[in-house]
Amino acid sequence: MIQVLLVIYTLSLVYMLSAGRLETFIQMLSLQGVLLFLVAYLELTEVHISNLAFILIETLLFKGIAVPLYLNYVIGKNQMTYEREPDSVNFYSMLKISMIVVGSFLLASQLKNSGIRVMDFTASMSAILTGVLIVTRRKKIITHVIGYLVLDNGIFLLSLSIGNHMPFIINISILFDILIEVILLGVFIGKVSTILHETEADKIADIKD
Amino acid sequence: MDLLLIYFIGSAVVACLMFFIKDKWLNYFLYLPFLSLQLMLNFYGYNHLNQIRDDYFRVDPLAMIILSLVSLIGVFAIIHSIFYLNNRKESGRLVSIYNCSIIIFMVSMSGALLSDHLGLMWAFIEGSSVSGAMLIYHNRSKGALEAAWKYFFVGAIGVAMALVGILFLGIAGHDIAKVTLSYDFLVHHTSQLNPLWLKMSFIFIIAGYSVKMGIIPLFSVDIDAKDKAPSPVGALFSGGLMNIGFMAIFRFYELFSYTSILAWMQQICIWVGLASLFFATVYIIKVKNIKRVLAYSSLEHGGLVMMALGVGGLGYFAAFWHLIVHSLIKSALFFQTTQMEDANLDKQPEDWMAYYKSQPLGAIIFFVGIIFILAIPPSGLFVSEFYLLKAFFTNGNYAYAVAALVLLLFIISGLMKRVLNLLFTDHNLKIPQVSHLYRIENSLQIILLVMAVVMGVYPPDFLVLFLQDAVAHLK
Repeated sequence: MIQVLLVIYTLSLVYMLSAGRLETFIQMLSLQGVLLFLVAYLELTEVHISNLAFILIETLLFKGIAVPLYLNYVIGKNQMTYEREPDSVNFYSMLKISMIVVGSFLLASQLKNSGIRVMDFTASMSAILTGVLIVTRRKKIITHVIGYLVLDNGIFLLSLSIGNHMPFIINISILFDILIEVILLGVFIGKVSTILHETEADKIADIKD
Repeated sequence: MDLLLIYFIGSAVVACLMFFIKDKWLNYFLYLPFLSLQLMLNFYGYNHLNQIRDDYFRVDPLAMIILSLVSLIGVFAIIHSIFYLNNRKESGRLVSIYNCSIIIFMVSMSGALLSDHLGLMWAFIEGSSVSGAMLIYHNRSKGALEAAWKYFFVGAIGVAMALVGILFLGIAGHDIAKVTLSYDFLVHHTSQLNPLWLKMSFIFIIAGYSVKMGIIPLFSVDIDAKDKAPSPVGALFSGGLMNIGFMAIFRFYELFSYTSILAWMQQICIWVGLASLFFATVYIIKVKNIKRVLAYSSLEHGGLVMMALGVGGLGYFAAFWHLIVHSLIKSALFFQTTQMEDANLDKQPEDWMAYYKSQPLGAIIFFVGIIFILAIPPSGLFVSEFYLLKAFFTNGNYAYAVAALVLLLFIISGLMKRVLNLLFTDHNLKIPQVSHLYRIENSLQIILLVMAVVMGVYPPDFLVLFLQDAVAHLK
C-alpha cells in the first residue's frame, strides 16, 4: 500500500513539472499533502501517539488544505494564471523529471544495503531535486515558493523513512516548516508584489556589485 | 528553576514585551534585563562546562569561547543600535520590531552554540534566518526588501539542505540501536556510522550552513544582507552569525573526524576555503561600496578559517583564533560605517576622503581597522594567518599555501588602493556633517581594536591555554 502511495507521489511530481498552470501546481501540492498524511499514518507505527497526531494534523490540514487554499488566494489576488506560456514545449521538463526519477532510483538501488528503503528514498530524492529544479529554472516568485514547498515535502518524506527512530527531529522540522511557510507566504510575497511591483524573480535584481 | 530555562523563558518574555511596547525609551530599557540574562548564560556556561542537560544542551570549551564573543559583540551591537535608531528618529513600531528581532537573533545564536543535539542546533539556526530577515528589512527600502527576500528564501533552502544532511546522518547511524542526534551519543558510536552516508551528509551540511557562515556556495545573499541591513546588524552578521555557521559545520567535522572520512573532509574544507578566498579577491578588487567590501572581506576570512580547519593540526588553533580576532575587527569596521552612511559617503572610495575631513577620529579608526583586517601586525589576525601558513608548509601542502598567499596579496593591494583615499584629502572638497555623533560611538570601536592588538602582541595566557586544550582532542 505504501509503495502504491509513493508511486502516485512520484507521478504527481512528473505531472507537476509538465504543467503550465499555477492551479495545477497547487492541486498537485494538495495531493502530495494528502499522500504524505497517508504514508505517515502507515509508516510511523512505533512513535508516540501524540507525535503521530501532530504529524497527521500537520500533513493533512496544513500541507493538504491550508497552504493550497492560501496559495490559490495569493494567485487570485495577483491575477496570475500561467507559470509560462501554455503553448511552450514542455519536452525538456519531462526529460529532466524523468532523469531525476531514474537517477534517484538508481542511487537508491546502489545504496539499498546501507539502511534505506528504495521506494521511500526514490520518492523523497525526486521531490527534493524537483523542488530545486523549480526554484532554479522557473521565473515567478510564487513558483519559487511552490518549489520550496515541494522540496520541503521531499525532506519530510525522507525524515519519515527514519521517523520511527527520530520523532523529535520530525516534530522540530515540521514546527519550523510551518513558521517558514507562513512567513514566506504571508509576509514576503505580499510585500514583494506591492512594493517592488514584480512577480518575476529574475527582475528583482537591483542590488549589484 | 534551571538557569538555562530562565534564560530562554526570560528572553521570550522580553522579546514579547518589546514587540508590544511602542514607547521607544521603555523599549530600550528592556535591553537591560536581556543583557543580564545573557551575562547569566555566560556564567552558567563557565560553571557547567561539558555537562549534558537532558540530552539536548552542553557547553564545551569551544562553544563557551564563541558564546562569550557573541555576547560581547551583541552588547556593542545593542548600544550602537540604540544610537542608530535614535539618530534616525525611527517610529516606535519600527523600534519595537527591530529590538524584538535582535533579541530573537541573539537567543538563536546562543541556543545554537549550547545545543548538543544536532537537530536542536538546526532549529535554533533556522530561528536566526527569520529574525535576520526582519533585521535586514528594517530600513523598509526596496533594496532592503530585495536583500531580505533573497536572504530569507535562499537561507530557507540552505537550512533545508542542512536538514537533509542531518537526515543522512540519521541514515548513517541506521545500524545503531535507538540512535539519536545527540552529539554526545553519536561520538561514542562513530565506528558504527556508514562512511558513504557521512560523506553525503557532510556535503549537504557545508552547502546548507554556508549561507550562515557566508562562504561558498551560498555566500551571495549574505553579502546583500550585510550591505542593506543597518550597520549594527551587519556587525552581528559578521561578528556573530558567521561564527555560528562555522560552529555548525565544525560540530559535524569534529564528529566525523573520528571516522575514516577525515582526510576526505579536510580536502573538501580546503577547496571550499580556497574557492571562497578566490571569489573574495575578485570582488574586493571590483567592488566600491564600502559595506560590500567589508562583506566580501568576511568571505575572505571565512575561506581562511575553512582552510585552517582543513589543514588540521596547528590549523585548528589558527581557525578559532582567526574567528575570534576577525569578529572583533570586522564588527568594529561595520559599526564605523554608520557614520559614513549618515554622511552618504559609503558608496564611492573617492568620497571617503571627505570622511577624514568630516570625522578625523572616525576615519583613523576605520583606516586602522582596515590595516588590522588585512592581518598586518600588530593585528591578532597575523598570528592566525602565520599559523595557518606554517601548518600548510609543515604538512608539505606548498601549493595551497602559495595560492593563499598570492590571493591575499591581491586583496591587500585592492583594499589599500581604495582605503588610502581616506588619507589624501582634496582641499576643495565639500565636507558633509554627521550630526548626533556621541563620543561613545567611536570608543566602542577603539576597545574592539585594542583587543585585536592585544590578541596579536600579548595574547592572554588563559585564552591560549583554554583554546589549546579545547582543540587538543582533534586529529
